[in-house]
Amino acid sequence: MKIRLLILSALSCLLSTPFEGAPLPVAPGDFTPQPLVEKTADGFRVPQPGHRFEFPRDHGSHPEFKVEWWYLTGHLFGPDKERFGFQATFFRKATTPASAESVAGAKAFRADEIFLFHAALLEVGSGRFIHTERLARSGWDAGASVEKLSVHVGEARLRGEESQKNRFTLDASIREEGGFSLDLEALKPLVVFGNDGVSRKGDSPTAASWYLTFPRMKAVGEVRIKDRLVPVEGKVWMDHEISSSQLTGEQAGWDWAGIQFEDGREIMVYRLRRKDGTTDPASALAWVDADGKTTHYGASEFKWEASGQWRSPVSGAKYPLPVHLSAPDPATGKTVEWTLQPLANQQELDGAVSGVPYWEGACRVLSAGREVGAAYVELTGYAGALGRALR
Amino acid sequence: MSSSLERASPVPGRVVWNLLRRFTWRHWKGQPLRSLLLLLLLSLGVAVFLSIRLANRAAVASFTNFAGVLSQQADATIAAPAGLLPETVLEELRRKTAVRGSDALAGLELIPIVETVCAPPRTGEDSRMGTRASFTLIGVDLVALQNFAAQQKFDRRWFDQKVEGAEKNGMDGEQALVRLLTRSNAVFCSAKLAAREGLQVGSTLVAVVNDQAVTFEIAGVIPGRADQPESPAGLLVMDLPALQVLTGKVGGFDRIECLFPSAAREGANREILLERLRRAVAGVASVRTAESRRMAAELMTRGFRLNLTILSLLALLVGLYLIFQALDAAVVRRRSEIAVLRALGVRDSEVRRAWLWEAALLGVGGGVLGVAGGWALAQGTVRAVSQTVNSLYYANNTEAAGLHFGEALTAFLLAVVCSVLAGWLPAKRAASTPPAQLWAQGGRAAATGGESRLRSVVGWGLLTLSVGLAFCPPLTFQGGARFALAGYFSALFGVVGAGILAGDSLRFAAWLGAWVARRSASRKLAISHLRAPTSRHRWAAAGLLCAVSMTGGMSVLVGSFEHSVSEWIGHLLQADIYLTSDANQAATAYNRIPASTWKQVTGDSAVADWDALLLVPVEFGGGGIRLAGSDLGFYHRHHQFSWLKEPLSEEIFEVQKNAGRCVVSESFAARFRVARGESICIPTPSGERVLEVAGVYTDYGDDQGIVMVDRTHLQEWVGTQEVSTLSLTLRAGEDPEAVRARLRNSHTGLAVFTNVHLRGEVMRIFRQTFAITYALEAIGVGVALAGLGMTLASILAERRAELTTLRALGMSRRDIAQVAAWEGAVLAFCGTAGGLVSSLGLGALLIFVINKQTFGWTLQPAIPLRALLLLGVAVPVVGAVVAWTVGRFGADLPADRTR
Amino acid sequence: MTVTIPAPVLECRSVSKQYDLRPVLREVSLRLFSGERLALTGPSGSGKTTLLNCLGGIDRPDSGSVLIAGEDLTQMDGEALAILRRRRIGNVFQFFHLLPTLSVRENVEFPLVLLGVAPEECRDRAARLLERVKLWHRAEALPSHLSGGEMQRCAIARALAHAPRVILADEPTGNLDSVNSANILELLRELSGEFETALVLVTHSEEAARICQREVRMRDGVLEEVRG
Repeated sequence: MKIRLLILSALSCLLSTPFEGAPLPVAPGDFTPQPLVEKTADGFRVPQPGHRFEFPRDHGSHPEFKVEWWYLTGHLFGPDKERFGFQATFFRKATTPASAESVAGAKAFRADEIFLFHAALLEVGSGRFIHTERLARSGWDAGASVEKLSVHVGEARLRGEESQKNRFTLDASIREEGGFSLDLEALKPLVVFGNDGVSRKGDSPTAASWYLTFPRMKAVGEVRIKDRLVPVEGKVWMDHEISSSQLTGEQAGWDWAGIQFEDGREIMVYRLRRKDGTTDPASALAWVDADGKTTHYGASEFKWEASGQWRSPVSGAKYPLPVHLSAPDPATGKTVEWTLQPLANQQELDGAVSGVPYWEGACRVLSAGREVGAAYVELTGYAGALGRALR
Repeated sequence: MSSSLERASPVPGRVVWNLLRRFTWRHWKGQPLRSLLLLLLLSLGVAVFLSIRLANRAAVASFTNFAGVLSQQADATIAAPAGLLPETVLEELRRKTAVRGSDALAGLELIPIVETVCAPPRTGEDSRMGTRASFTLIGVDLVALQNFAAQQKFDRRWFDQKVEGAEKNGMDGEQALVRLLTRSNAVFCSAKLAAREGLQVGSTLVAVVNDQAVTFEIAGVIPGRADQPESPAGLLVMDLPALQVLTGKVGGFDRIECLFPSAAREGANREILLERLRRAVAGVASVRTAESRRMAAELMTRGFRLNLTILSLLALLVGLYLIFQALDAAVVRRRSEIAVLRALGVRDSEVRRAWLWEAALLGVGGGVLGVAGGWALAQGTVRAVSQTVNSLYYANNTEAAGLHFGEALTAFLLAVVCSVLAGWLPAKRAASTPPAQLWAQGGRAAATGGESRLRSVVGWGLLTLSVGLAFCPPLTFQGGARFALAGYFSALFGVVGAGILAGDSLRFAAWLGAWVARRSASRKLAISHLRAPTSRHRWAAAGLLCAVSMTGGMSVLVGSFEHSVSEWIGHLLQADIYLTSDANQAATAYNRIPASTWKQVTGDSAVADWDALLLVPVEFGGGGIRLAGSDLGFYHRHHQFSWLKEPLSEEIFEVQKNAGRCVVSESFAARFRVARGESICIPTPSGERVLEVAGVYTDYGDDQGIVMVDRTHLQEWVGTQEVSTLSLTLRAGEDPEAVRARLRNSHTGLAVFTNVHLRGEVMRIFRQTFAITYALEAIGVGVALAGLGMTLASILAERRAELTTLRALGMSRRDIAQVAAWEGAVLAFCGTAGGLVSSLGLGALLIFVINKQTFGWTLQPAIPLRALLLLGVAVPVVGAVVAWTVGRFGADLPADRTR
Repeated sequence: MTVTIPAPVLECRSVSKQYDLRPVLREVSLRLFSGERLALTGPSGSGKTTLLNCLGGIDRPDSGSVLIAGEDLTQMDGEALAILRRRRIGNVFQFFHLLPTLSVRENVEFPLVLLGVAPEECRDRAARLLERVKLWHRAEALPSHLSGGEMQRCAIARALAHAPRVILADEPTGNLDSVNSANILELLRELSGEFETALVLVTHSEEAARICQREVRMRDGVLEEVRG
């Protein structure tokens, strides 16, 4: 569940939800969403269950769908245990499907599709956090292949290796301040979240996605901080999500986390917050075991709470951090509690281009005072004046 | 003698300081009006020079790039040698310059740009050319623009600027962006234009693009940063694809501006990145750095700007004569004082230094006043300069000139250095004349034989040098630009040499005038003063000679130019009606007439014959030239070519036989040293073409160079059916005015001229181009005349005793004024006569050397008798009036004060 | 030229003049007849030169009137004064004040040229005068090449060229040695007689005063008759 939806779905009047110590009550009733339709009102396809994914084709772009993203987060370590966190997101959005004629023939500057790229890099030791955003028309400076994983925005790019399956390269620079180049290799098979290949994000008959994830990849490469190059290795989480309409009008924002445990398992969790202060029943938590098998839990079966608050000096948004999460462990059946402790508080992206500030940061995962893994947490819809930011 | 006095030794410089403070300053203070006038005249010279420099700079600076509007100047610009860059170049560039994300040279920004020059539509009957300020319409990817805005910490208000006073328009960023991208006529305008025209979000602005009047909708004001200069008034920005459609440039663009990451903005990394770019576009386009691009713009206008700069030095040069003269006069006036000082033990060197300091301080004062005045004056001259740049070189409507520190410093230093130079000789004189002689002569200065010999040697020597230099070739630069350095020095030496010799003409005039003067006491006395002219007389005459000869020389050049141009257009303009896009108000406006339109026009029943011209700017030999396509046969049939080297065969005029052949303009041949029969390799949008030069023709409308081929070929190379201009010959009995009116009504985006009208327009623009030249000359002559007045005033002041005697002998003030008037008139006459004679030489130098070397135009010499006659009469008359006034107020007695 | 009415050539009635509130001339009255020579003596700063300037129309009195040949100078404007000077008055100065750019002959001719006399007559008169002052041999020399005595002789010739009614001489021998002084004084005496011109001679020297029939002394702006 990613921030870009917020921008691209043009939810102009999202309000921040006041911080509350108690968990949000889950909206009453079991989550039995309306059946999915084939197409959205504006003619885009809606992800259907039972789809047979084919690779490398389905790593590539799906232009018949409205929105799509490739989202990578990870934890990297240098030779002297120097630690970094990074985020790189390629987002595709078809805007006005029938407007191509308005700029007839201008394939280099398409108006029917735009790409957005976000990158962030945290140098944990110094707490230095750098980030960038870039918007581009589909065309000469941004695009995605429909045959394989090959997406680029400006100089940033994510490519599948020609010869080897599930191996990718990622390049991103954050202006002169830094950048990273990583070779990625999946350590676990691809996971498809949701029921029968469809992840529901709300009650609406179009609110669904195909949600493909490599929850654990090995990364080898280089990180640059200004002029300093650091060889790094680490673990990466990569999402690829395809949809045409996900959110409903009542949703105010969401919280998401991808947790990689030291025991080789992962959790993917999202909590959708409604404007009335309740948790949307479409919220979900999924365990991925060491072999890549998933176990899903509904909104009522896990708890996402705040155990503090951090106020961004840039946007003024108050983020519920650190995060306190409790959920049943399918291996034992017992409920386990974790604290997702940020490696630095300042990991807010200020929305310089999109106008939507959000928090996306590397966290250590503590359980009973012991570090049991690493996580990336995303908190959206907390910046008070989203409307202003969208000027 | 007491030992303390024995031991006393002066602090170095103390004596000089005391001299300055006790004597020099008191002299200046005692004559506040004269001091002020001298300072003002010097500062006027500096001001004129600086104002022209600033105006030039502003006009050149306006030739800029879009990145400059966003943040900083582009580090590199990529453009095709001819025509548009294909869109595929961008992807190629990205691919070939790709680096890994961790590379320190990551972060190269590529900004594709489509640019066109358009103009507001005509209002009413006004159809003068080049009078409406053009808009530079830039097409840039508005989506990508967001990134720069964010990076540069710009005000991000590109996309959803609200109607003023209205509440929030209820649109968010994406809606606003989508709305903007789907409107093909949305433009952003400069804050200046918005303020001037009262434009708001949603207002409309009409401008002619190609043959259409397009209604644009204002989407907002180009946002700026407080620390950035405001965007130029004529700048309009719109979405790139929309402008591609509007201008027919779909699939291509004019240039790519590149911004380098900060690690590569200078040094070795910059070179690495430039090299990568060059390799990436090799064979398709050329990469120019910001400096080389600016230099190209500078080179293009260099000749024009240099001419102005040199002309602007005229007033300063004349000003220098004045300083020289004033200091020399002061030496004479204070000679007895100097003699006393030296008798008291002041050293030669101290006297000399005090005088040099006086000159330097004068320079400092004049420099400071001049810089202030120059900046003020520049606000006026900048319009004139930019208008000329607009009609001759590129679209430009600069309205203000900033004060550039370097230029101001140059002007200031020029004032100081020149003052010191001018003060050198007087200082030497002050220090060197022995006291005994001074006493013996009772304070009167007389030229010694040695001095007059030296003067002759220097004068004739300079004249000889001047003649020799006139035969030197010009300096040449890359891109074919030339600079007639030797020619300018020849002019300078000639004028100064003639000036030095001018004093001798005074004796001649005195001898000649003696007979005329024999019956009149005033005339007799006036003439007697010129028999043994003082150095002040000589320098006043030299100053006038300098001003008059330069003015006269320019008149000869302009007169010859005008004569040649009118002959040329007489040849060239033979059709009845001419049409072009009404948007072509500037030299770089390449708006075209689409095929549908020109076919409709040429199909008109009134049209008997027609020709069309297609103009394409291309890069050749490192500089910009124009490739023209026309019906060569039509030109030949209608005798429109003025040949310098006529084609040896008629084949060039037959479209079936003239492929691979071209004719070139004279400036092209001169700039690139190409002769008839040689082959040139010209880039075209469809690749390079080797063309044989079949002939060289005259074209005074262009100094960059034109290569003309048959239109059929050029249209094929460019892949267009569009044309730039149309000329129509009407059937017998058709009234051109009626046809023009009809065409103007049916094609509002086209400028339509009748033959008479176009000729008039060409000549009007021609004269407008020289307007600033005239102004500069007038200032030079004005300063020289003021100098004449000052000279006479100082001479009269020296003759105080003589005046009293004259009054005692029964001369009235009017008589004395007459003496001064006659003296002034003869002086002015001598300066003017000498000036007119040397102006002929200077005119020849300008026509055959400087102009030829700078612009490559052969001009037929024509002497503008009326202008020279006017100069020859007006200057002595004004000189007499000035002198009369000075005499009138310089000769009063106590008895005149009452009553 | 004969004087039929014995009227004074020069008359000065109650002339007063002050500079910066300091009285220089107090009610000075004086009459001078044709051919009369008057020596005006007195200590420096007593007002001699001021009086002379007022008599010559170079300066104006604050009150009183000055008449030359019956014409009141104080009633004239600058233009009329200039005309009067060129017709009626000849000046001889201590520092000669020859016109440096004109030759000796031209200097002498100059007052005649001012009056519009025909060139031939100018030349004749100048020649006669130069011969009279024994300067003919230097006629074409420039003043800068003359000795002091020669310069003053030239100045005297110039002062007499237009046959003025009055010659005003301000310390004509002040800058000359005794031999030259004597010559100049003798010349002035002779010529004023020959030309029947009144002469006002401002001088410090007893010797100079002796050539005059009358002598008045100026003291603090007041005239007192010494002899005559």
